[in-house]
Amino acid sequence: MLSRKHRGLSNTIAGAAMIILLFIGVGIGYVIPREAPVAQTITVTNVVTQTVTQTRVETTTATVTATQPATPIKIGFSAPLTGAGAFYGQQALWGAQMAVDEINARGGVLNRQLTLIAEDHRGVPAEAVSTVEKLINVDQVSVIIGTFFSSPTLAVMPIVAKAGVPLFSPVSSSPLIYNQTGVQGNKWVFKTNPSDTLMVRALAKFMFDVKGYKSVSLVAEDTDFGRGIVNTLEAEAGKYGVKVLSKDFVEQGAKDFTAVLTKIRGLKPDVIGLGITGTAQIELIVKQSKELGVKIPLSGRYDIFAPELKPYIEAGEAEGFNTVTPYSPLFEGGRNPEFVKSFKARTGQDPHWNAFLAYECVYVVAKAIQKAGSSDRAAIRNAAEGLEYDSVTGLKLKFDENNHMFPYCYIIEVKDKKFNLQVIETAALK
Amino acid sequence: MRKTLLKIEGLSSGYGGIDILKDVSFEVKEFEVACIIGPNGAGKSTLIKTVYGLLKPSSGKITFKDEDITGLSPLNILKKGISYLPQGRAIFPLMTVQENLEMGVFSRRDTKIKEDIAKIYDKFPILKERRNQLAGNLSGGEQQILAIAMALLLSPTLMMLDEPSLGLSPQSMSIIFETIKALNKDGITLLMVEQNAKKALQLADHAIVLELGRKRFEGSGQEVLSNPELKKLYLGG
Amino acid sequence: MSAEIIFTQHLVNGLLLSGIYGLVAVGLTLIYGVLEIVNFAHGEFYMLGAYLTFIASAWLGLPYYASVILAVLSSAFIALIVERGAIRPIVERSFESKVLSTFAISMILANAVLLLFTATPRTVRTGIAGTIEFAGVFFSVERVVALLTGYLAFLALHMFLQRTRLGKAIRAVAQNRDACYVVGIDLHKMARLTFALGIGLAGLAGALIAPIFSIEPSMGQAVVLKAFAIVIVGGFGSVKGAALAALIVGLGESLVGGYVSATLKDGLAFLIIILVLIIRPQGIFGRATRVL
Ligand SMILES: Nc1ncnc2c1ncn2[C@@H]1O[C@H](COP(=O)(O)OP(=O)(O)OP(=O)(O)O)[C@@H](O)[C@H]1O
Ligand SMILES: [Mg+2]
Repeated sequence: MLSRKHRGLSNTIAGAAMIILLFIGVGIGYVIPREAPVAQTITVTNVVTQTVTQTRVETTTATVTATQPATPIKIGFSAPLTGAGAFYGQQALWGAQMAVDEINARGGVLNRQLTLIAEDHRGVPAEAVSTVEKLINVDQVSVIIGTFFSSPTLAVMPIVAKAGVPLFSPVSSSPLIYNQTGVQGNKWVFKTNPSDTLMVRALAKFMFDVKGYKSVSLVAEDTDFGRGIVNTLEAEAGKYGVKVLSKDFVEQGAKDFTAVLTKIRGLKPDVIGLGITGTAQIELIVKQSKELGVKIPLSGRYDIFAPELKPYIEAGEAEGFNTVTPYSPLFEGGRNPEFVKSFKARTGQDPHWNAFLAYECVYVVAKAIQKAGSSDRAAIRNAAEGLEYDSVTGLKLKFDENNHMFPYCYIIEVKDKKFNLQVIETAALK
Repeated sequence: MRKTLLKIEGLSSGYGGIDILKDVSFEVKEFEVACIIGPNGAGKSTLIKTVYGLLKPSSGKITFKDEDITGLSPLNILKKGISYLPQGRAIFPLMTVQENLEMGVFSRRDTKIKEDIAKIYDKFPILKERRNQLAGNLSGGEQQILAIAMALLLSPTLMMLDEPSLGLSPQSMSIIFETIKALNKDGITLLMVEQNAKKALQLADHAIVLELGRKRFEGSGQEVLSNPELKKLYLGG
Repeated sequence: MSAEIIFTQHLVNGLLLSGIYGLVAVGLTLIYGVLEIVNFAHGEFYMLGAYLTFIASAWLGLPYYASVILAVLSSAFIALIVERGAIRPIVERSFESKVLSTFAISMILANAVLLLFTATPRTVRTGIAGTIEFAGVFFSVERVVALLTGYLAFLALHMFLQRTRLGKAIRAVAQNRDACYVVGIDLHKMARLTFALGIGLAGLAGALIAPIFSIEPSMGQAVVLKAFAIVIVGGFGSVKGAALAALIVGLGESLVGGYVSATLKDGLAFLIIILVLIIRPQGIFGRATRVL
C-alpha cells in the first residue's frame, strides 16, 4: 500500500506520461504522411476537356466576416460528421462551405455574410434532434440545412415546424418525407433532391427491363432509408413480374454480412438489391461476397463512388454492378465540370453527391433569403415556396406543392472497369 | 528474561481516517505465545493487519527485532520474518494441495524449495495424502493446516494468526491448537487472536485484552483466566 | 447448392467470428477475476489494437504479421501506463469508482483516436485476402488466420495460467486475495501483469479483426457489449466459460442471421444473457468451477 503522498506523485507521473504519449501520437500523425486523400480517378470513355475560366482563391470566412458591418446570416448545418456516415458528412460540409465561401466572396446575400454553424449528429436520430434544437435555440439560426440520412431528418421535421424554422434537406431521400411536406402539412421543410421512390423507379426499369434480371434478393439497413428502398424495389419487382427471393434488414453500420450473403448464395438470385449507406459497409459486402464465392451483381442504392470500392472496380471484380445516384461527378452537362474542378482544387477529392447536393442547397437557401429580403425565418420560408432555381447541372428546378425539387438522377453501371452513366429526369417519374 | 521480538508503542490505526485502534502498546517476547482477546469489533484484526502493513497506523511505532518496521509493505514485512494468517481460510480453493504449497514458496527463489515441501509433507501427513486434491475440497481443519503449512514454508520468526479456530469442529479445533503448540516448540513466536479464549489462554504465555480499540488488560494467560471480571465478560462466566 | 453446404457455411462463418469474440471476452473476464474491475474500456483497447495495426501496416509499411505483433506489444505497453495512472489508484476503491475510472479511460481513448484519425472508417490490407474453397464451403483466409491465431493465443494463455509460476500466481489472486498476503504474492504486480495480458488479448483481437472489418473509433462499443454478454453467460471470472460462450454466441449469431433474421442477429447475445440469468445466474461455469 502506497502512502497518499507517494500515490499522488506516481499518479502525476503516470498522467504526465500519458499526455506525453498522446502528444507523441499526434506528432507521429503529422510527421508520417497520411494516406494520400483517396481521390477517385474516374475514367470515362469519352472525356471532354474543358477550360475552366474561373479560378477562385478562397479566403477564410472568418476574416471576411470581421470586416463587414452588418451581422452575418446564420445557417445551421446538421450532419453525420463522425460515425459510419463521416465520409458523407465531411463531403457535405465541404460542399456547403464551398458555396458559402463563394457567395461571401461575391459580397454575401443582402449585403450580409453567411456563416455556417455545423453540428454533428453521428447519424443518430436522437442526436439530430438535439443538434437542431441547439441550432434553433442557442445559435438562433435563420435556416437549417440538413440533416442528411432519412431517419434523422424525419425525426427533426416536426421540431422545425413547431419552432418555425425552415429546414432545407439536401440528401435525405426517404419517400416518407415527400408525404409530409408542403401541401401535405409540414410547410417548413423543403427538399432539393429526388426521393428514393423516384430514383429506384428509374433503377428498376434499368434492372428489370434493360438488364432483364428475373429474380432479386433484397438487403438493406434497418432504417427509414433502407426500408424505403426495399419497399419500392419490392413494389417495382411486382410490376415487372420479378421474383423477390429474400428480404433482409441489417443494423446500420453492420460489418458482418456473411450470414445474409451465405443465405443469398443458396438462393441464387440474378441480382442483389441493396439499400445501404456507409462506404465501409459496401466494401465489406463486396469483400465478403468475394470470400464466400457469391458472384451476383449488386444493384439498388449504395455508394458506388465509395473510395473503398475503387480497387475492386479496377480489378474487374465489380463488373455489372449498377446503382442510381442523385449526382455524378462524371456528368458533363451545365456547369458541372467547373464545379468538379474547383471542388477538387479545394479538397483534393472528387465531389460526392453529398457535397454537390449540400452545395446546391446552400445556393437555394441563399436565393430564398435574397427573395425574402430578410433573414427572418418565416420570411425565408414564404419566399422558398415555389422558388425557382437554376441548377449547376443546367436543369431549371422549382419547389413543387410538396416543397420538393426534382433534379436529375443517374444510373451508373460498371462496365470494363469503368463507370457508364445514364442521366434521367426525375420529374417525369413522379 | 526473554528478549523482546515485537514491540508496539502507542499504536492507533483504522479505516478511512477513523481510528479503531487507539494508543495500544505491548510487547511480544521471543518464543512466547501471545494471545489477543476481546469482543467482536474490538479491533483485534485491525491490530494484526496494522502490524502486517495492510493498514497504515495514524500514529505509533512498530519495532521488530529492534528494527522499526512501521509503514513497511506486507511483502517487506514478510521478508523480515513475520507471517500472517488472515481470518478465514488463507488457501487457494481451486488449486491442488501441492499447488497451494508451491504458491506458498512463491516469494522464494532458492533451491531448497522441493526439500522444504517434502518436510512439510512429513510434518503434516494428512496434506501428503491429499496432495492432488483441490484445496477447496478439504475439511475446514485441513484447510487451516494447509494455510499454516504455506506460511511455514517462509520460515517465519513470528507468526500472527487471526482466529485460526474459527468455524472449526471441536475435533479440528484441538488439532489446530496442537499444531500451534508444536510450532511454538519448534521455535516460532506466535501472536494470535482468538474468540475461543479459554482454550487459547490455556496455551498463552501472555494475553492482551482489547476493548473498543483500547488495551483493557495485559497479563499471563492464567491471570486473565483467574480474573473474575474478565472471566465474566469474555469467557462466558 | 445443397442446403447442407449452406448450413456448413453458416457454421464456418460463426466459428470464424467466435474466435474474435473469445479473445475480447477472455481478457475481460481475466481482468475481472484478478482486479475485480469490470473494464468498461476493454472495447477501446480492442479498437486501439486495430488502429495500432493500421499505423504499423499503412503508415510504417510493416507486413501484416509484424504489425499484429507490434500492435499487441504496444497495447500491452499502453495498458501498463494506464494501469499505473488510472487503475492502481482505484483498485481498492468502491465499485462505482472503478466503473467511473474505466469509463473515463474508455472515453479518453475513443476521443483521442477520434481526434487523430477522425471517424472515417479505415481499412487494413494484409496481402493475404482471399478465399479457400473446400467442398463448396468457402474459408476466408484472413478469417481463418484470425481464428487460428486466436485459438493459439487462447491455448498459450491456458498453458500460462495452468502451468507457469506466474500464471498460477494470477489464478491465486483471483481465488483468494487474502491468502496472497500470506505467501507474499505481490498483488500490484499481478494486477499489472493481468491488465497488460488482458489488454494484450483485446489488442490482438483488434489487430486480427482490422483487416476483416473496417475500423473506426467507435468500433469498441458494439464488441464490448457482446463481450460482456459472453462473460456473463460464461460466468464472470471464468476463462473456459468465456471461450465456450463465445463459441455459442458466434455460431448462434451466424445461424440466426442466416435462417431467422439479420436484424435479430445482434440481439441474440442479449437474449442468451437473459436466458442464462434466469436459468443459471452464476453463468455456465459460474464461480464454483471457474478456471481462474
Ligand atoms: N475494511 C473496513 N472498513 C471500515 N471499517 C472496518 C473495516 N474492517 C473492520 N472495520 C471496523 O473496525 C472495527 C473493528 O474491526 P476488527 O475487524 O478489527 O474487529 P475484531 O476485533 O477483529 O472483531 P471480530 O472478532 O468480529 O473479528 C469494527 O467496528 C469494524 O466494523
Ligand atoms: Mg477479527
